[in-house]
Amino acid sequence: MSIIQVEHLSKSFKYYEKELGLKKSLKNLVKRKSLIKEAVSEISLVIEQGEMVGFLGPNGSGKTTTLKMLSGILYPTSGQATVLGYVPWERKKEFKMQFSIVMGQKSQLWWDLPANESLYLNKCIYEVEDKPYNLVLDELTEILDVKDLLNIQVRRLSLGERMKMELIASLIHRPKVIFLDEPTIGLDLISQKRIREFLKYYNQQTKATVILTSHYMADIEDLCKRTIIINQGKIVYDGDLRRVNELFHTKKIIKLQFTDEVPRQALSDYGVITQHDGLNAVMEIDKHDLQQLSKMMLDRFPILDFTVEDIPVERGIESLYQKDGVRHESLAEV
Amino acid sequence: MSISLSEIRKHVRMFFIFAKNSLVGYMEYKANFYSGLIMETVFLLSKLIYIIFVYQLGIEINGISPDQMMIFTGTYTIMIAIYTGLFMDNFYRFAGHIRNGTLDLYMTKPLSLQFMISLRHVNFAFPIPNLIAGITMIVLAWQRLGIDPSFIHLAGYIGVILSSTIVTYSVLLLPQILAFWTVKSGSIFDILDKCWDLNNMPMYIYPKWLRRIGLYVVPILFITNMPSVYLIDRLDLFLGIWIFAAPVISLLVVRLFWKLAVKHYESASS
Repeated sequence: MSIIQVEHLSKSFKYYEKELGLKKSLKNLVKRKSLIKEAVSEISLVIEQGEMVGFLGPNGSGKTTTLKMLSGILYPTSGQATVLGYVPWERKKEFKMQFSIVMGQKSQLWWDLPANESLYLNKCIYEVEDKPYNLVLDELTEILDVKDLLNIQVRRLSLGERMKMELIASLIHRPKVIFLDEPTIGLDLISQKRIREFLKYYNQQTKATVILTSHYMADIEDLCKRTIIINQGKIVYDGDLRRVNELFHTKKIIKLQFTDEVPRQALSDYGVITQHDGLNAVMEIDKHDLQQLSKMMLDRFPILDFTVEDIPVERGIESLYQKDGVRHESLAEV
Repeated sequence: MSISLSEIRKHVRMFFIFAKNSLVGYMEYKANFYSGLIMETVFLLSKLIYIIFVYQLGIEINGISPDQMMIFTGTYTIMIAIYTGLFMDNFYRFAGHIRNGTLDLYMTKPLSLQFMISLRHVNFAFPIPNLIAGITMIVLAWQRLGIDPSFIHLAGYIGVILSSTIVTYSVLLLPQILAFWTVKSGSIFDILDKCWDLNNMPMYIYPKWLRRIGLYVVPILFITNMPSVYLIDRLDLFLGIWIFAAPVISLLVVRLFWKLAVKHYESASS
């Protein structure tokens, strides 16, 4: 059963440009040059019940704008969408009672109060009866291991603990659709992992439909079978994550630090050099040759430090464009 | 714009939870609470000084005796208490919600957005001195003027205060809503803030044209004058009807403007 249907959804924003300096500011007071940015352009998609879909893309690609339209925060410029059979931007109460949105950078908790006061507030807002409220609260605080923190002021909680409370506050009414906008942003690796485990568990238990936006590859990799990649407001990929993974993971980045200067030419036999200053170098090498080439380099060069990293997600997206032949002008801002 | 009884009940309940949360939050910062209380008391005293001078001189202004003047000042002070207690904190934060995009999350809640934004915070420090001083002045002037202390009179006065409260909410919220387009609204708020001070004196000291604008076009003079005019028996039939009509019309206008504005909300970047 399709829970989310989107057809040719677009959103444009009007904004103003101001050049550097006071003189330009004075000029802008009288006349401003307005520009239009197409944040989301003609996107179409269908999401089934219980699916967990990842929205991946660089900053400013239109992920959050899409989520804001699907949750009724923004009116689209054109196009149509239904979520749970409702048009989101009509903002009907029946619709609001059945979905939830979590924004990693915005809080719904009262800063000066213990988290349980904010949770109780949401209980009242969503008209949840005492019994189911207590059951859900017990279950969620147990899984997320924050039972002992309920009586502590939100401002005294760590970022990870606060995000867990944000999640509980958003799930207190058992929503059927959950929009998660970068829920792990700014968290340490352990907290990120815990939140991901929780989301996986919650999706399996409740069969809630989840859309997750992130530019952390691990979030999407861990949680979503289906990935939608957005760039410059357009969907450039919609499908199985494994295929994207193959593309993203064909190469690895090696960062090298030397005790003595190593000339650029000496390194060029091992891979593509992206940065080099004599004592430091960053290279891209083929994943399959990693072991062999690393060994050869360690034997040949005076290496002080050696780290291997995945290709950044933005680079992966770039590779994807090239492979699929999707036209795009530049990824300079990525 | 259909409103069911259960929704009204829910919103009233939510208001009390918001008020409770505000109080709990206030108690977390004792110094802030007491300094707010002291600041408002000093501010109130400075205003009272020149009222006392006017009172001692025994000057009548356009047929308003010093005791009647005290009714106006008392009502003005009570209205300040209501405004600072219920609306001020919310209105000051209003443009910030739009600028920072915190409106986003409120927008997805199954509760009236206007209600959540405009009645979310209750201030407990500022209204206390004003409420005490205002009620004291009204009681004193009431006795000195020999106004019949009947239940009808009292209920009538409270009723007009209620009507003035709704007008205050609407008149001061309306310019805030412009922030949906302008994003920053500090200057607009300041203009209204200065206009609010017109209530410092009975409306009879102003020329007729200004009085009419202040009562019927932008009913800022309505706020203090209507409850006072009711008490000193200067109410004619037209003003009597206006007491009922003004809150309904102003609330309707602000609601319609709100609905129009929310459609234009463009949210801030995440």
